[in-house]
Amino acid sequence: MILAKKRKKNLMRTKEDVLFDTFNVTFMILLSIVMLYPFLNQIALSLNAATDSVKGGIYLWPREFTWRNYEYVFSQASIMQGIFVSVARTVIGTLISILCTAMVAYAIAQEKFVFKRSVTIIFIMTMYFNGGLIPTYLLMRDLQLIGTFWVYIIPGIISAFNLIIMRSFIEGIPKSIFEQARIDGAGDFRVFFQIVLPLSLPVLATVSLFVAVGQWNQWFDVFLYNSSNESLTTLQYELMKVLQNTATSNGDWNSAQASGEHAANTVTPKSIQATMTIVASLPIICIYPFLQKYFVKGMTLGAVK
Amino acid sequence: MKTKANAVTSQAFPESQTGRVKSFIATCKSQKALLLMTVPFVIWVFVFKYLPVWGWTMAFQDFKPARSFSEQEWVGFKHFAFLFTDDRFLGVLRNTLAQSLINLVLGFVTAIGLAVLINELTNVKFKRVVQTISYLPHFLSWVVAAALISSLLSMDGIINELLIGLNIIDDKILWLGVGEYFWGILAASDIWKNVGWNTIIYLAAISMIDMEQYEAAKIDGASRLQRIKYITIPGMKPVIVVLLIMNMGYIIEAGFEAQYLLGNGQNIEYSENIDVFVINYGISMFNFSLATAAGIFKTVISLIFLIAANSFSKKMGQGGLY
Amino acid sequence: MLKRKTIFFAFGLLAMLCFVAACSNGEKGEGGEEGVSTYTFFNASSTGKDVNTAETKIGKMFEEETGVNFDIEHIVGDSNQKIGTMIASGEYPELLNAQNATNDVIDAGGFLPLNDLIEEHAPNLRKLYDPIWEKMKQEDGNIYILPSGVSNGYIKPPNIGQSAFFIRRDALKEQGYPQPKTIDEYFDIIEKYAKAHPTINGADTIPYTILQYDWHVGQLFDPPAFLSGEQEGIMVDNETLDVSVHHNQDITKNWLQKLNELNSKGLLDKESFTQNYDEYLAKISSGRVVGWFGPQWESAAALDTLEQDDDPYNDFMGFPIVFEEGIKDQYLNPESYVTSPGTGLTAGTDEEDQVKIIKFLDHIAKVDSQKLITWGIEGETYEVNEEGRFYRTEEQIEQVSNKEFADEFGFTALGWYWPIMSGTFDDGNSVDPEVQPEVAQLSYDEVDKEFLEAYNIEVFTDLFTEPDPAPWFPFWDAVIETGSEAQLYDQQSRDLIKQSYPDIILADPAKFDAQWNSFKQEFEKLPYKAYEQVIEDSVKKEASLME
Repeated sequence: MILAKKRKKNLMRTKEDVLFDTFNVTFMILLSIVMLYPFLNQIALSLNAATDSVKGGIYLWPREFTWRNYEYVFSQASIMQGIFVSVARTVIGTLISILCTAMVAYAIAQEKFVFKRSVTIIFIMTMYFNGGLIPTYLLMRDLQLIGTFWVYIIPGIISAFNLIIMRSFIEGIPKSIFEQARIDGAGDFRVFFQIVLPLSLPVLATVSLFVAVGQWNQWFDVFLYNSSNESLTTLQYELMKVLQNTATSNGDWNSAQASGEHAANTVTPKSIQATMTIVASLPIICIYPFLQKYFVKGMTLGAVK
Repeated sequence: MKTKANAVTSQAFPESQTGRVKSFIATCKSQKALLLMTVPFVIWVFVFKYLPVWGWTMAFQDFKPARSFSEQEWVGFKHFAFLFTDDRFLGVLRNTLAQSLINLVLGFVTAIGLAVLINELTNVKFKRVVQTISYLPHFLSWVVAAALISSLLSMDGIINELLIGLNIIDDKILWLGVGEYFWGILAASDIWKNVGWNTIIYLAAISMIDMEQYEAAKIDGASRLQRIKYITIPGMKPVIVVLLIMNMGYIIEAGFEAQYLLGNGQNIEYSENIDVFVINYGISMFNFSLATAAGIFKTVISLIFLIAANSFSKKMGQGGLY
Repeated sequence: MLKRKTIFFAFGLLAMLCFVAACSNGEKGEGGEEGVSTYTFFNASSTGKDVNTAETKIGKMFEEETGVNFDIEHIVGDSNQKIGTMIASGEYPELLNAQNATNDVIDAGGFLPLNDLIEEHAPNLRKLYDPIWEKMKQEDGNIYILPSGVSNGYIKPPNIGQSAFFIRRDALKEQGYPQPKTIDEYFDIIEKYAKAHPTINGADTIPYTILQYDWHVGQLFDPPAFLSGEQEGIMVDNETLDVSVHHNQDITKNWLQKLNELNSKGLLDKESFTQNYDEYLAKISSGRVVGWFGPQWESAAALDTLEQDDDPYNDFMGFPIVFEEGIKDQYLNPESYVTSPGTGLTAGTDEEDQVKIIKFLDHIAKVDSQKLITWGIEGETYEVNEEGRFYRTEEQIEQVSNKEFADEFGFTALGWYWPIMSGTFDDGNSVDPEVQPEVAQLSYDEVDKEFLEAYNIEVFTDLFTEPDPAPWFPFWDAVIETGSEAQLYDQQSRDLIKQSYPDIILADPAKFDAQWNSFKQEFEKLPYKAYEQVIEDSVKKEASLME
């Protein structure tokens, strides 16, 4: 009948669909070019001779190819240790943070929880103030966290932002699922581990990514707390050091003059910066697909034929 | 409980209070697990986030790090007064709010739009690749990004070439030399750098939507745009609302790196914001007191906006953060 | 399958945790060998490679002689934040250079008074610092920090390392090697050349450019003083020692007017006030720029590129330009007596350690050690001729300019920031090898010589007048108190000038006066008098101490 006809028509690709898809794909290709260019540019710069790069005009391809910039970066003594610590803090930090954030998020997502509102407010507030550099430093000192690995993990276990995001996803899980589990006699811990965690994979993946990238890129806590402890240095901190080493001078002409820094520099801040960008972001980009599959759905409408 | 408490006379008050306490304890007992899940972290948050707030006292002192707390010189609101009476402060405040408001609005619209469009891509591989590429600029430091933006916008840069080629402008424009353009440049830069990253959370929200809804809608004859309007967007709504409220609280945080790196004498009237001001007049002058005073001011503004946004959202029936 | 993967993962994680825990507990050992003490030297004034001094050749020699070595740690982020946390916690490394926060550390009692320690244990240090001994004393009479580069006799550098008006060599050659003396003559050469060559290497010629980015402000701020024959950045009356800033004076107006004219002729780079440091360097090294003012070191990265390419005429030559004929140029730095920042011992260091450290510093202060950290080892990094003059062979010049060699040898780790003299040794050799004429002349190529001959000079600085001695030089090591008006002026004036100068320079010439007057009015609202007073007090005090 009419309805069946309509139904059939609707399952075919309409003119509108084709138009939409053409527009969408074209737009995405243009967008990709704009987004990809700077990265390719950094790769080209990192593979180009530093003294040549000063002249400018490097776009997508190196003019004077060299591995020198990478050799220089990796010849720094503590880089390997830095990579190790960075990986450690990223893995450990992310796991701990995810678990704890999800747990609190679960609790404050429960309507019945007596402290739902107060706990939520206590955490939200922390997004909008901080006590400042010196009080925080003194706190870390009094807790004897300075000079330890834990100063990278403990102060940042829960970010209020991630907590609220996670809560709003958990609130989106149909209540009936919880109720059924409770009727079956499951306690909150069991509901949390066996039902909420598996059902929240997309948000867990998202928040993991936020935390992991944050941990990976962090250098300020190394600078403040562990700068003199070489075994606790991180990749980003080491890269910062390399970069600042190559910067010719910090306005102090005496140092520039006296240490002869203008002598035959084979690396420049610009090319080291480019090399750093690549070295620091590649690992994160590499693990990305493993997380991506949780929040970019494979099955979409188009696939439903 | 409530009605009973209201009904009893004043003499019975103590009794009702113990009753309340008793029932409260009973509730707590029944929620032992939830308490176990939160209490350790509430303690954590007090120690690591709330304890250091004693540092706010610095704003009312001529703080010198060497002195102990009792030796500090108290100066009342001197640093606030300096902040608010500086000739440039109003301009600085205007820039902060304008920059972050533009970024907030455009940032939200573009990220949501991009998430929807990415979701509509039919080829899964293409979809994943595009999504990956779109967030790459997020990994560039602002130093690198600013260098690129500055060269794009230079006299011989690609933007001028393009606009002249398309006959949109007759003479090359010194984009970073005209203050009026700065907010636009900043917003465009910020979107370019972060839009892909910001879509991740919306994509996660979309992926929680039940697939059957789409199929049902399709069968009912809903067009592509209708499906976006009636399924995808509502599916993202809780996240959008939450993010919007949280970001209203960040209205006073416009960042400083891009402003610092792209700012110059010719656009300083539009580029300098509170954070840049605090770096120049606070930290780089070893004046931690001024930096703290500015921090307190920012917190107050943040909380006002947060509370307003939250109650507005609740009034509109969209739920709030708390 | 999945289970095994999980177990494997958990195991890996556990192993990692153990390792990390081990890392954090492993305290640094106090020196590997018997009787060797290791201390930390935190340097907030410079970035650089963190090493232990004993890992370098010179450092090892020092360790053998003194039993002391240092872990050198350089600043990575913001020095004020780092030093702020040190002061607040009262925990310092044994040896500290606190850069801008030096006075705050002194106020906090973070540095130990060194007077007695030096008098008692360090005769060589006492001798090294004798020229500025009184000047080094703080108001309480104590000496807390040891600056680097104590002057020991003046020596004129052969090449321009500091400020000058630079001009493309090709322009000079084409116009028959003229010697511009005044700013008008200088701009004329540029104008003529730019007209004759609208493009260079296919790109538009940039007649004159200015760098004005972040802390790079000298190219715009400093010329008024130099053009009027003053020594760097501020006006000091040599007789009365009165100090004044020049931003509201007529010399600044004149300078801005010159730039305004230049701009109306279309000779000023339109991107002068928007380009960043990278873009500026790219411009200079592209060879399209005809002229610029500034210290040589600021553009060194670009100048190196130009020097290494095939065209020797796209290099630059610097001139001491003044406003009018008859003004004596003062571009070269006189003997300098910097007293801050410097390196000091910090509170909390054991008495025994204090003595060890001061003895180590005393060892560096010995003349032989000084030669070791500047010239190196005879026969290895330098030679001595019959007259006792030090020189380097071409191979040696190349060898020491290799950064890795300099790092391993210890030139980098043990040079500046330790007690080190500047100027000349008592035997007449230059302390800084690059300033030794024998070394400089060896590095001149054919075209360098062509220009030296054309101007009838031996080294490039022969065009410059010798500097008048200025006992207060440099002015910028004056103590400006945190939170004072003078400190505020420093930042406020910079902000105002950055904002106003472009408007004045780019204005229609008819509106120049109006723009200038409105700037002057704004400027005079700033507490510049307070700043002048602070600098003047310091200049006068320093001058009297140096008599």
